Amino acid sequence: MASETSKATRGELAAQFLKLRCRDTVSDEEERALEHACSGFREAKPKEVLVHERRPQTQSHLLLEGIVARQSTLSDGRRQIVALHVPGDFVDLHSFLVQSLEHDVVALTPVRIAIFPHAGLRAITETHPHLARMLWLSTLLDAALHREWVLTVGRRTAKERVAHLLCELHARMRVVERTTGNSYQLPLSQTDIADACGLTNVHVNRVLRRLREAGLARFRTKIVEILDPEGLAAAAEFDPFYLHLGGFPR
Amino acid sequence: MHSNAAFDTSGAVTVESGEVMIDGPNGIALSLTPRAAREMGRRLIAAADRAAGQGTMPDGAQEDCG
Repeated sequence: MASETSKATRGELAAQFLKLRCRDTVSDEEERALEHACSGFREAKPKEVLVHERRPQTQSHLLLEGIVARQSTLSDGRRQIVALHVPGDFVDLHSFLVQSLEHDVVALTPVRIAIFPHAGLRAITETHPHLARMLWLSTLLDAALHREWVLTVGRRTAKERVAHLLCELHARMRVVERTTGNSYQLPLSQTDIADACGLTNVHVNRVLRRLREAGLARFRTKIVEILDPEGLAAAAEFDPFYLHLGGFPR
Repeated sequence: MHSNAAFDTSGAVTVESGEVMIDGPNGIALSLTPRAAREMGRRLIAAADRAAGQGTMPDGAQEDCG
């Protein structure tokens, strides 16, 4: 069981505010409303299941630190990571309305998350309609990512899949100020990347080596370094339009 | 290129750390053990011979893949 505390400061929600502000103005009052809806914080270890599929939920979780996966597993153990979440993402905001998830939510690294009881989220929908629309937008962004991932596993080659993932995570990490130039921390195993890309570990290993040899990107000691941003994006056919990074009134 | 038409190009087949890797065409990205690769190779050749003897299928026709 994960530890649960309420010792964090309000500033810990900063990544979420950065993600929202990238898309629209968020008022002080709206930030306070979101902070008020947070009931506490918890930490979890790698491989810990934060939310089990099919279990009714009464709260949603906002990722503050670490990487979380949404994953589904077939009866023989074959796992597909269907989404990766970075700091600033709600990992299961949809449980507010669907109650039980059709997938697990699993920590891939040590994580710290903020807890939002559904009652508080419901209150936001009733008192802060613009903030409610921004939370709605969060789930729409999840859906846009899913559509792009379907395209990836359905049509992209192994090299394109891995290159696309590296580009996408860089763009998302940059929004929440978790990049240093063209580098970012990605404390995932090659198995995690393989399960996100629908490849074997050996296949991922080879693709990463080829990306490095081509001078496009390097992934070692849990750090991704994009050596040639334009070249990597071209190799992946990465177009960040689906991330909807533009800011305008919503 | 129509993505729902049969591909007229083969994928790249390479070897890495004891696995046979098939990349392409399209989104195929497959790793096989040597045993599975040999068996798949035999099945592919046999199926290709049968398909070549059938000629072009009319629109809407589908081969039984079972």
